[in-house]
Amino acid sequence: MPPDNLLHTLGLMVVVATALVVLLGRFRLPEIVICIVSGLVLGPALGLISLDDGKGGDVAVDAAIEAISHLGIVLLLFLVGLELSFDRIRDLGKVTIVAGSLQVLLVWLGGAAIAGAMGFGATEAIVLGFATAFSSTVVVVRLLGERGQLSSLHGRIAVGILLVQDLAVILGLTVLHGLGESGSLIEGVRAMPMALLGLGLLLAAAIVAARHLLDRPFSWAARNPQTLVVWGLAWCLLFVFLAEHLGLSSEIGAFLAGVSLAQLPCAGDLERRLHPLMNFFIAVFFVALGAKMDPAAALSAWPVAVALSVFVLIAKPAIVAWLVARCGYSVETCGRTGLLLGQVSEFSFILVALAAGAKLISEEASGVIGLVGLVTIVISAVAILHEKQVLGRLGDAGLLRWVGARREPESIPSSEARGHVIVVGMTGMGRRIVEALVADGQRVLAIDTDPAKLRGLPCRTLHGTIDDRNVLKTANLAGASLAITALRIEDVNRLFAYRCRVEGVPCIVHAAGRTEAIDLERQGVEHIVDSRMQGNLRLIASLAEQDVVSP
Amino acid sequence: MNDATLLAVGAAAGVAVAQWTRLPTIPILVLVGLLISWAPGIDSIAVDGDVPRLALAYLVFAAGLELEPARLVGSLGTALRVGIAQFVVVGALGTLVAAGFGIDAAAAAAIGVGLAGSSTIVGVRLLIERGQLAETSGRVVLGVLLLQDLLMVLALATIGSIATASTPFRAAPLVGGGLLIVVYLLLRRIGPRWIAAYDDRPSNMILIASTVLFICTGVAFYTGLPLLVGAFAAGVSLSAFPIGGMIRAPIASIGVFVSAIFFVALGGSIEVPSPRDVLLAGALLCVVVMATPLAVGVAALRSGLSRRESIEAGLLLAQCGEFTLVLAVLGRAIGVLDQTAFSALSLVTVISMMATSLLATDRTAWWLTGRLSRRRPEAIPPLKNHVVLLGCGRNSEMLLELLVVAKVPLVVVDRDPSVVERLRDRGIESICGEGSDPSILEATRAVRATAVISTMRRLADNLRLLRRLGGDDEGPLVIVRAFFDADTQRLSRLGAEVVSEAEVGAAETVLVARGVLKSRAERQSP
Repeated sequence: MPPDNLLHTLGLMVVVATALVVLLGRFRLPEIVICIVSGLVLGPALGLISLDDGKGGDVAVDAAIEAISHLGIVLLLFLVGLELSFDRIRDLGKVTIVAGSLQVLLVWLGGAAIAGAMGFGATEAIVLGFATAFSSTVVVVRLLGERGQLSSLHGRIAVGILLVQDLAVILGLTVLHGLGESGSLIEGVRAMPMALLGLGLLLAAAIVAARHLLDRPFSWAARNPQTLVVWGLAWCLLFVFLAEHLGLSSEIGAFLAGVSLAQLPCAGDLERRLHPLMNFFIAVFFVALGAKMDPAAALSAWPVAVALSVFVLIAKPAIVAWLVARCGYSVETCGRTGLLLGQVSEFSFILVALAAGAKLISEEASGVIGLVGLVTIVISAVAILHEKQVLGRLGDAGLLRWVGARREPESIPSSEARGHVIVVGMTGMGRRIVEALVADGQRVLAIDTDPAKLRGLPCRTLHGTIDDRNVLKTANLAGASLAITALRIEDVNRLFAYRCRVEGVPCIVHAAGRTEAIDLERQGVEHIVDSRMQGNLRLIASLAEQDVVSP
Repeated sequence: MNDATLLAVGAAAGVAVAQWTRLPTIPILVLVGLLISWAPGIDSIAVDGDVPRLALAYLVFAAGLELEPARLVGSLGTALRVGIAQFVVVGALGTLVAAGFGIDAAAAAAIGVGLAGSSTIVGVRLLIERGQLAETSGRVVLGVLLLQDLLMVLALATIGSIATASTPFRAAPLVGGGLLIVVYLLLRRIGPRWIAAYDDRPSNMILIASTVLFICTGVAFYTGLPLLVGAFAAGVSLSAFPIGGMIRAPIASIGVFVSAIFFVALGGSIEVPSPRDVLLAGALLCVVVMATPLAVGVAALRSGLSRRESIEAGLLLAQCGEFTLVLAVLGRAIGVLDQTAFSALSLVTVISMMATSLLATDRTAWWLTGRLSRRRPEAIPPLKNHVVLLGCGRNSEMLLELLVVAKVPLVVVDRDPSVVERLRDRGIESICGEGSDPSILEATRAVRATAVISTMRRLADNLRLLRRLGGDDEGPLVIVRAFFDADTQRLSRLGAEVVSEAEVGAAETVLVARGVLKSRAERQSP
């Protein structure tokens, strides 16, 4: 294996990132920041890896890392789409379109004005301003996911605004592609209607598929986790393929593929199963991002970088908060949404790279966005993780007052269950337990890997496997009063019992034999359902009833 | 359509076919790859590039994660005896057959080793489907599979060392092995405390697992060991409870992804076989499906398993596995195997994996059991109006004592010779064998008994018993247990007295004990 082999490069990226996550994690630094720092350490600082588009390293390895990073973004957008049912989109359509489009326009103008005032020419100022208008979907969604806030109101508004931004990016990329190929701005603008037509077609395909095509096949596929995962990935890549052929970005294709599946009952399970895969690929993306950065090139124009960074970190969140407030949301929601969007996007790097390729901007201007990206992503990630303190201080200083939002927070019904009984495995035994508990007036959550087995149960249900930690988080295991597994899978039962003990939740476990029961007793499980023993007791009772033995 | 989309759509079609036909996924994925490569305008898919190699490392890592030592407790000795016998017999026969086709010695030996490895994925799936994982025979099969995986990795390491023979630091492999053992011991020691702390952060868990994988493969590379040895060592180091369970779930999604890529790509790299390839594949297939059950059956029987359990174990292991495909790819990449041997090994694996799903059934096991019965069961004194107890495990002790105290004339049938011996010492008539075996039922004179009590858990066994004894008004009362409503109905229709809902009853008992539910009496009282 040569030193520039993919496994070697990827191994270095993963090992260093994990080491820093473990070491720096205790300081509550976000993983994204740590991954970018890992890339900076490996690339610009130590020169251990070179991902400079083939200029310094191995072309094949660069291409493979690029592909893995790209797959990470595609999966991320696919999972974002999986969270958005049509109802949710309808719910937040107005605020995201109004705030999203106006924010892009205002930040673009503001950024261009700063760049122009600090000595860049008109074209460069326009491109730099445009690049600052977008926020990072990857950073925001990752941080929301880490904090379990993807379904929160401010999380959904922010994701909606990011999608509107993505549409603007597509138009921008389309123009720049046209410029890159023909060198003419007119050709670039002419390509826009085609891109919009493609978007309409893909959207229509997603809606038709969601309404009329996907339900039955995916319900069948969901009975086997492997089939569900492979079908989900294939559907995602099919839409990516179509999007690229319609002149759209692969991210939009992945997002629409996710939205079309979000309407299905298996969407939650698919999302949870693909999450680890996305996490791995996206970590590679951030390390690669750090490794590709060239801080030295941007340092020559550091005053512009500092000015644009301050603008992105302060003015952009303020603009977003003000626009969201105009749609009638509370000061808390406006503040939290604004805070989420205070950084530039990974698309900003792509935009300036294309603009530099089309000779619209200089290398120096391109380097400025790199530096702005590093500074704003790091500071905004830290600010998001400490949002309570940041917003508290802003509120105390009276700075949130000018936003003009109402003070009363939105009343959101809490969907998190507490004091419930979790029953896992809808075997005959599991179903009977659920029925008995419901009849007894208990609040029950039934979990199974097969959605067909969950149909018709008189309680809340969750489709998924309990050896996945995310399923237990969704089920709020820590808040349960009792957990019961009726499964006959020894390994899964043992792990479930262990996790229940860690969370301090009493647990009843089914043992399909005496050996299993003894193993579970050794593990400290207090209540074991030994069905074979119980079956034999009933057999004895039956013998007496049949006069085979005396009662 | 670009390569990734093509592979994904092909894999989607493959898993759908596998789910629909209930056949194993891997051979279907290989066939899909084969079909894709035959489609006009499609180039051959590279299987030995960087990305498939990365996929392979994760696959082997996932296999290592399954090697939890605790799973082998109680069946290690038997598994070792059966596993080694099977590996040696099938490996030697495979080598001889390959050499008979004019293949050179090194390639023939590689083919022999490839044939000796069964599929852990297929075997475990069948054991789970039949509820046999916790049974003695199930644990032995699992132990044999894990031993085979270990031997296959060692074989891969040997083959891999041919490729890395030019490593300048010759003593390095020993150092590498030592370092991997240090990693193993370190993780066994600190893993439960350190890694388990990240259980509530699954995103970190996958990074940690990947880090262990890359560290071990790095150690392997820099010390001249094959990459796959490092990947396997990483998996084994993390396999212990509870870490193994925590890591298996996040790794599963990567496993599904990479196995889809790898096996479809592998199928795409198989060329159209020539008549000689087909002939060679046919001969090798005969070795796998005939020699494996024979070697396993004999070794298992000598190790104390019942005749039927031995045959079942042999049938469950009669296929080549995922490591055979890995060996084929690696062997071709370093020039040990030519295209003919590669195609033959791949075809044998695909066909034998699919054949197992069709052949390793209860019906085949019983047919073979009947055919191979050479001696009749031991005779017992003529009895009438007695009770026949089929199965006398630890859970049935209470039932046995009740019948003994009631002084009911009794005949016990159990598959465990030690149980039978113990009962005979107590003066209880006992026969060693399967409760649903017609010859055993005949020996117990079950048709003249007052009652036949079955504690056999498997539905198929009870159905077989009832087809022999049930439905006759003058026949004995047949009492069986059932665990599902549908089973109760089927058994009742055949004339059984069914003790149903044993599991439900058990659950109810525990729920009442915990005060979650009221007892039946409390519920019935006004």
